[in-house]
Parts: sequence; structure tokens; C-alpha cells
Amino acid sequence: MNPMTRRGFLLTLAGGGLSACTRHKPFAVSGIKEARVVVVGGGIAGITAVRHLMTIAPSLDIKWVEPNAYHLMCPGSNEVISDLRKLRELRHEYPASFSSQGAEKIRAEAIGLNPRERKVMLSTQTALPYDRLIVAPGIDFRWNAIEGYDEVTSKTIPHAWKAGLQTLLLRRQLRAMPNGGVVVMTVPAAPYRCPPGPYERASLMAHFLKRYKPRSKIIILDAKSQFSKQSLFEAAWKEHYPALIEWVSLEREGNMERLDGDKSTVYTEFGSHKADVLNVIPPQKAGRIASWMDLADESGWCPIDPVTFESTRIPHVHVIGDACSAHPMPKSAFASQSQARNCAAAVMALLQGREPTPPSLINHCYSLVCPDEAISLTGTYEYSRQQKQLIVTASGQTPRQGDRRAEARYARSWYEALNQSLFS
Amino acid sequence: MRLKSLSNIPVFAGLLLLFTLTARAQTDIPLPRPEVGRIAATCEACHGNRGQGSGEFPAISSLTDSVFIQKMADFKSDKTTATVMNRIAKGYQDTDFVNLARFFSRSGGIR
Repeated sequence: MNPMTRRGFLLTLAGGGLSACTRHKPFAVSGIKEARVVVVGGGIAGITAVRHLMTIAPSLDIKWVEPNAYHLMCPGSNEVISDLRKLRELRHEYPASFSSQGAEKIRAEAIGLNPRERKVMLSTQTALPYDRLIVAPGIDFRWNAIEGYDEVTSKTIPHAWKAGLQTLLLRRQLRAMPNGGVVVMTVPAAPYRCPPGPYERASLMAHFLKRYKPRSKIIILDAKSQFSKQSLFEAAWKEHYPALIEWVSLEREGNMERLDGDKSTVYTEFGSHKADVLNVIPPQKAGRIASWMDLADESGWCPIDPVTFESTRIPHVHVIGDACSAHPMPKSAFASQSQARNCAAAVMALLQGREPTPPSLINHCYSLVCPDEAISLTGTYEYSRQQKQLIVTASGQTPRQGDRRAEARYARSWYEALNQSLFS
Repeated sequence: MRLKSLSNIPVFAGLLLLFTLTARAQTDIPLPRPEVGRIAATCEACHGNRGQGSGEFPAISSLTDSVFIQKMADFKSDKTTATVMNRIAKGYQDTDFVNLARFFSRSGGIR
């Protein structure tokens, strides 16, 4: 749907025909039984928000808007690319039990917002009233950011930064590559989804190549000067895949200027790289629902009050997960779940007329450096009233001599716990 | 008062010390604590719903309060080492450990 028709549709909705939905007085939520909470999005943040609301407020009326019947997990998709996991393992049907537990699933896409009347506009030509709205739009790509790379080009040159056919395409290309071939991966500047993800991907692709095509090479063209868990990744690469992975920093010539898909070549400031397999991870922004609802600012991401995750642009609307700006938290699955739970608690407090307590946020993200070794990064976060932002209360990463095998076992346990918390 | 204390070096030094301590205490003032349910949710991300344990992650709901508190304090001070808990424990305060222990043991983590 293009913006014009959407706007037309919104005007039609605003114009009438839906007055029946205004029987609730939006400003007088006396108790949570009458309160209407709408959650938009069926990714990690969205589902976690629904589940946490059901846990802390069993009598709450929750409407959950998600067009799909299943979710494809992004965490774990690097393992699919390297043949360590099947794509179907990432696919999870949404639990049917939500409805019986108080969250009604509405199978539609949210396409707009009427903030004055507090209604979410749905693709089914209906409007859903809310007292509090939680939106978890995920990410989208800035298709215009790289000369020569757009949505059409991505059908042959994968980004594989959302799990699905893209993941399979990259895996197929990696399998078909000749021994001695070159994989070129381009990595955008921060912020983007899953900061250590490109380097985990390089590690696991290297694991695959070392075994099946040992004369090959992976070149990472990075638009950054440094990267997440860098020293740990580099130590593991030296140990497991010497000379197989070459990381090119921004200062060297990491910044891609343009791409020629027909020639499978990437051009930088200083030269060009011809690839047998090209993996372009494009610059990103908040998912399209965020722009349809006008929740994103000029940065492309959604500014929020970190105590409640309420949008600073539109009151009574909360944004969680990769789409929100929750600096210094990274955009990770773990962080998204933590944000969702804190947001749910804050929404409950607000509906009950209480002042929300400060948030307690955490990120702990694992990266596999080979199938049975992992490294991790930890951050805990609280809100500082003086600085009016989230601050790091503790942080750290796997020690140089840390037990990477134990971390890999933890990583798998966490992944199982994550899936269980979302889909069981 | 300012002149008086300047003429009295020990008092001045004492005040200075007090001021320094206060200033230091101010930077160390504990942040207002989140409600325990919010902190507990950070544990549950790995240790499962209500801290009942999940895969490699042990149950924390079955620990007695004193064992829970001691374990967290030992992780925080690096008295015992662990794969990841030393790093995580440093993000919390001693009162959090007490409240978490109670949360998981007495209420069984039910909110």
C-alpha cells in the first residue's frame, strides 16, 4: 500500500463509521480490567511483551496484532548458512494458547495510527482502540543507502539479515562456491541489528570453508573502525582459521562506495573486490510500521523514554526491540526481551495510575566462533535521573582465557530457553 | 563560619574530609531500585520462568535465601568464579540480592 492510499484510508476511518469504538473513554482507565492494551509485532520483543503482560496481569484485555502464523528466528540463522542447522528449526508456530490466556491474536498488519483517538489502523480496514499501545516493528533496510544495491538486487546478492529465503540463498551460494573462492561481506556502520552478528557469521562460514573449500577466503569490508568482541573474535580466528578471514577496517578501505551486481564486484575508496559470494548487510532503520505510525525520527529509529519505553513523539505508544533507540543497549534478541518485560511492567503501572519504578535491563549475547565454542558480551543497565538516560551498571566480555566451550553450552541453553519462553 | 574554620585547621580538615566523603558518597549513591519483579525478569531470561532452571542454567528458586545471597555476593566480589555470573552480578546491589532471594524462594517467583 502506498502512502497516499494509506492516508486516504486513514481519513476514511477517521471520517466515521467507527464511532462504535469510542464507547470507552480513552482518558479514564479506572482499573486494568477495562484497560485495553494492543501489542503490534510478532518478533522476539512483541511476543515477550504479550507473554509478560499475561503473566503480570492475567485479567488484562490484550489484543495482539500479527499477520503471520509463524515466526522465523533470526538468532540461529548464521548456523543455517554454515550447514549446522536446518532452516525449519528456526520456524515456530505462534502458540494457540494465547487466546485462552487473555491475549486475542488479530491476524492483520498494523498500517497506521490515529493518536488522537488512540486507534491502530489495520490492514483489514478496521481500527483497534487502545489505552496503551506497544509496538515492536523490528528493522527494515535503507535500500537507497548503497549505490547498486536494492531490494531487487538482494534477490541474487543476499543480505540474509532477516531469516528465511535470504538465509537459504546465502547457504546455497556458499555451497556452490569453488574451492579457492572469495566471500566478500560488507558490514554497515552502527547502529544495526545484532552488532557481533557479522563476525559470528564470518566465523561459522570459515568453519564451513575450512572443511570443504580450504583454499577460500572471507573478506569483511567494515564501515566501522572496531567491532563488538573484536579481540576475542580475532584470537579465535587466528586459532581456528588462520589467514582465512581478513577484516578490513573503515580506515583501510572498509567503506563500500558502490556495488556492481552483474560483475559481483564491490568498489571502495581505494580499489575493488571481486567476489564469488557477495553478502551485503545493508544499513538499517526501524521497521516500516514505525514510519507508518510516525514513531521514527530523522535517525530512522524510534526515540523513547527509557523508564517506560514510551515514544517521545507520540504519547501512550511504546516502542521496544531493535526499532527503538535505547542507547547504550545494543540491538539484540536478549536486549529486546529485557526491554519488552520492562515495558510491560511500566505499562501496567501506568494503567493502574502508579509511577513506574526504574527499569532493570540486561543484555547478554553469545556468538559462536565455531560449532562448540562461544564468546559473550554482558551489559546491565539502569536509568540515571541526572543523565536522563540509561547507564551501564556493569559490563564485560568473555576473558581471554575464558572457557569458550562452556559458553557454547550456555549459548545453546539460552537459545532453547529463548524459544521456550516465546513459543511453548 | 568559613573564616572560623580556616583559622581552625583541624576543623577545616575535618570538614574537608566530610565534604570529600559526601561527594564520594554522592557519586556512589545507589540508583533508586527497580521493583524486584523487574530485576527478577533479568534472571529469568536464562534461568527460566520463576527461576526454575533451564538446560545448563541451574534452578535458583530452590536455593535458600542465605545461599542465594552468598552466591551472588561471591560472584560479585570474584570470590568464586563462573563462566558469566561474575560479570552479571556486578550490575546489582546487595539489597537486590536479598530481595531476589525472597522473590524466588517465598513467592516461588509468582508475581
